[in-house]
Amino acid sequence: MKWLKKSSVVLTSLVLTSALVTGCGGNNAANSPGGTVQPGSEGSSELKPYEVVMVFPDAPQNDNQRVQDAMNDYLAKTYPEMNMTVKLNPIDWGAWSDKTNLMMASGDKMDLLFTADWLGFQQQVTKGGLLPLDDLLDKYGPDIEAVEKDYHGPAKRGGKLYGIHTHQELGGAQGVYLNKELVDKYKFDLTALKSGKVEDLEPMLQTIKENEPGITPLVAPSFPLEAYYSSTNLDSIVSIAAINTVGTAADDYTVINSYTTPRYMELAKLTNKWYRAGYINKDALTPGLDAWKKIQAGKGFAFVSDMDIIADMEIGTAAVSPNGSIKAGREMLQIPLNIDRLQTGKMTATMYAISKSSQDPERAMMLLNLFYKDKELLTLFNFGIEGTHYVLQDGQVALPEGKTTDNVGYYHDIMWQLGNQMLNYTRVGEDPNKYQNYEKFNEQVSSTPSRIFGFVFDAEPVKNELISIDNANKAFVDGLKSGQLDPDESLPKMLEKQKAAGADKVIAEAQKQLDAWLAENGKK
Amino acid sequence: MQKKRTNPFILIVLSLFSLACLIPFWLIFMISVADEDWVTANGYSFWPGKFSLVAYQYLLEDAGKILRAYGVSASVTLIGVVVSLFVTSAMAYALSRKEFPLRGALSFYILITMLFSGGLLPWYLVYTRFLHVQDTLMALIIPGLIGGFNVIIMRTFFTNSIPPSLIDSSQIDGAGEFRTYFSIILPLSLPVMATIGLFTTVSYWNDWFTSLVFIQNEKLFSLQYLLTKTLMNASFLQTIANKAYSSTAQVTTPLESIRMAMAMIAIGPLVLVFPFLQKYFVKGLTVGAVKG
Amino acid sequence: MASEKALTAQSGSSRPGSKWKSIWKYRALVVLALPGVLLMLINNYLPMFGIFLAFKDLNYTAGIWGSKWIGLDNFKFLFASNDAWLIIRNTLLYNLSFLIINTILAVMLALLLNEVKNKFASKFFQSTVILPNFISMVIAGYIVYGFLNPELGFINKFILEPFGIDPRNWYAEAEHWPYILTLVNTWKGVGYSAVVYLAAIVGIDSEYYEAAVIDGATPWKQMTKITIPLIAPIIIIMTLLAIGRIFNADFGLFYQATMASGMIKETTDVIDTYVYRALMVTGDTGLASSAGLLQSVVGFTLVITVNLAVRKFSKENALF
Repeated sequence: MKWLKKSSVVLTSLVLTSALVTGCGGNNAANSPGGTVQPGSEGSSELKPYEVVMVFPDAPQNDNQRVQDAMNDYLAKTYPEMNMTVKLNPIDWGAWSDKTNLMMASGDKMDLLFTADWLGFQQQVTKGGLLPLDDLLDKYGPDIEAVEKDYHGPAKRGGKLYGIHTHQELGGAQGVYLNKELVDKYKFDLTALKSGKVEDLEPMLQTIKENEPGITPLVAPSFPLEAYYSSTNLDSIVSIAAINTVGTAADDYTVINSYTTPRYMELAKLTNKWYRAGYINKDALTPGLDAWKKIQAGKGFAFVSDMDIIADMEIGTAAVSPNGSIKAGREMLQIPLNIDRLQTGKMTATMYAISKSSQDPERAMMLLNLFYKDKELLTLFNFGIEGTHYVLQDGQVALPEGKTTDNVGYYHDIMWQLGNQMLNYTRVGEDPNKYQNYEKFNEQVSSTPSRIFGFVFDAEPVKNELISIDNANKAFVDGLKSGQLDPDESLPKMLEKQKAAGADKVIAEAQKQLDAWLAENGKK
Repeated sequence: MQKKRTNPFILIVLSLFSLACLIPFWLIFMISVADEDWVTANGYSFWPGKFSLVAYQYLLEDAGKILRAYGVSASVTLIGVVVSLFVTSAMAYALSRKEFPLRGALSFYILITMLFSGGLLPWYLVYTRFLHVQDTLMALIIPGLIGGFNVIIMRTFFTNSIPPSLIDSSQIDGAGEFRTYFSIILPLSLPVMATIGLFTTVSYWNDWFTSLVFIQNEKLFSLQYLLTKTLMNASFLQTIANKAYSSTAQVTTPLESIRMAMAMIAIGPLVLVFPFLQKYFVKGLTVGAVKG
Repeated sequence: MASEKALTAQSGSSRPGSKWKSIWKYRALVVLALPGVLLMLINNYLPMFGIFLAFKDLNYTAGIWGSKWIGLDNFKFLFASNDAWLIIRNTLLYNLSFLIINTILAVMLALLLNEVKNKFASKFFQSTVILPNFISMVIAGYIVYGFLNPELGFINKFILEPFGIDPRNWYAEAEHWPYILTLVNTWKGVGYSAVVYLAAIVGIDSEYYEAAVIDGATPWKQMTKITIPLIAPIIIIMTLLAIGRIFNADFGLFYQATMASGMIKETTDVIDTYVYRALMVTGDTGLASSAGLLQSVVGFTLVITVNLAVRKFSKENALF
């Protein structure tokens, strides 16, 4: 074992590296806010120039720099007292989590950062990457407060606010899209779906299957169980833990396993029956499958998905879907089968936060606030420079003559990420009243809040159980939702595996935290 | 060495194997030129019923970006491979000398690098906070310059195919270690240099992760990163599509044909590199030949 | 630079005087090895402080050094699942069979390639077998998908259907995957190893064969008595290195080629895919650090053990 003696090489280099580590630690400390920043008071003309770095997910645009310059000209002209410039730092979707994690962990300078529960918001807060925003919002965010005041609860952790929700639709609607051509051909009676039950689609699927070889009656990758089972039936807490809201009293806060409701079994059986009857395409589960493409090619009749938000939506009522028709390249009808209630999760699905590495959080908040009030600034960000990247036609945005989305230099659809989305122009082809429809839809959604709106579950105590349950689910959930597995046989197996993985502990923990929250908020 | 004809049985086996390696490429190529709607209706085929060059036209729109990325990848690969071959072979030569007192320690030092890793974050910190090479070509070159695997393979070749007597005699003739290395070892090791050179070429050429981590400036994106990120964006957006809720978050997947066309574009240059290296595989460049 | 030299020297100081002298004697070799040593120091050793992250709860504000020590907490998730055994079993079985099949096939392929006398044919075969190594796993995944897609795939559509066999739902039937994955892995990897072995064969001194031919040795004899024994060292080293990674599964293969389908998890879930999913659930990178460390430690122990065995058997061929 001669080599063992020589391991001193390794040890020495470890000592070397430890010097580097402390170096890094020191760096981090120097970068952290507080030390260098002299927050400007209201007198504000003394504000030193500051560049606000905005980090958000987007495909890089060729004319990023030009738009940034235009935004800075505009800022200097319109808000000279703020004395700030902006640096747009888009990061590709595919690189987003790796890159932002590294930037955050190494203390790279970032000010405004797009975040969401599905992009690791919780971890960013737990790991100390974000700043609490309550005071900043009070001081510099009046226009944010004007539209978002009631919706901050879900982004609070430990009583402090860490993210600001984009002002947009407060929920969604899900249902089925139908190819109008085929509906007309077979004179389907769509009033049957008034019930709001997907079951009533069955006779139509059967007709298509029998008469239209080569056409898939129900095109998946999206299924009833995935698209809206949970939004209709549950107030979800975490993973399997949820409250069943159908057939229970409004003050019933019993946490259950969401896979044990009778409705889950019904839908799983229904999908399984359809799958075996050949109504659903067999490659439904392969990632990358695009249902629209199949409809476009004229190979599909119906599919389950998110609905277009249009005026006067009602469960079970068919209407022509403007966006759906564009995407499918043929006329499509949409029938909503669910309209969301106001849920905690939605409020954290699109947010901006301020990074701990910001050297001037005040200025970051000022800029964020502008995106909730200044249509011109927001338009620059979303559509680019007028005349170069877009032209206005009857108050709607269109591409300049002879340009395509690929060569115009600045084209992205990320209106939903930033600021007050309702301030935006609509694109030509969209309903000019899109955002009025949104506002109306929002009234509908916010009038039916979830029973536990604002409750946030702390997953830390049951972290390992959640991993283990996810692992148990993995083998079954996809097969059940797509109808490829027989629920009579598989569902009990899955429940058993979930139990072994610690389902009961998770549910008990959820109940405990929920009860505490209820008591705190005087609900019980 | 052309003493007799190749055994036909061997030819058949190899032909079958070659076919198995080629067929999938044919399939990729055919999907890249097939009409998307035809494929949706009829399935993947080795000879689609309807052709379309949409994918390549689409890529042509981005020709400027792609050419630049080709340039980045080519220069990184060229510099990287040349430097890496020197560094690797020099280290391997030192290791191959049985008299070298630090041989065991050095082998162990290399082995550790092959088994243990500090992870992404510390690695990122070293390159960005210590070397400050982020957003430069150096960030793409340095990480691939040395690999324990290659050093060990090369060392094994040196110990096995170069007789110690040869080194001894050259040193008796008064040649120092450097001369021995340059004038005996390198010329005698062309097959292994070609092999390791090939592997290094492939790993530089196919590397996209380093670009992802260190490169922010779009002009320095390598070809593989440019292509891979398109695929990653698509699959990422798909997995999050139902989490983002927003009706405006539209998911646009590049057509299958475009993905395959990208794959074709990326493989192209590699296919040309190998025949070039192959001449060093020809028999005859052996110790005996040099000795004589 | 200077400190590194000192460091290298210091490490060998078990017999102070003579050791120093012999290092000085071979100082030229030290200089030759130095660039590689330095690069490894930067690229591999400096970042190794990250190993501590496996035992820490990383907090960005406190920094790596200031973050809280949490002992073995990060490791718990690996064994929290009742599938831990299944995942370890899959990882080991796959890697073992890959190792055995790849080595045998690659050596055979190299021997066959070496027998091709026609120059053009030889070049052609060499080029084609290495081809699959050039493509990324993502694309390989799409190729597999092109063959196995349950609705449009080549196998169902153009092989099973015409023969009246019921099409199969490949991505839902776990029992096929050990074969499919082994096939994909072999297809993609065997050319690579074969080229290494071929380089070794080409490097064999032709005098050996000339002597053998004079002695009247058949080609078979030449192969078993000269070629294989002479490339044995490289086979042993390649095997040793593969053993060090026996706990690390090829994530691309098990994630991309299976299209991450859950229903075939029974036969396709390995340590790396499990860790990836755990990361998706919690977003906590400490988990990846701890899993990686565990894999390294197991690999390290195995390499050391096997290397000891090799040393007993033939000191020449051991790694160190």
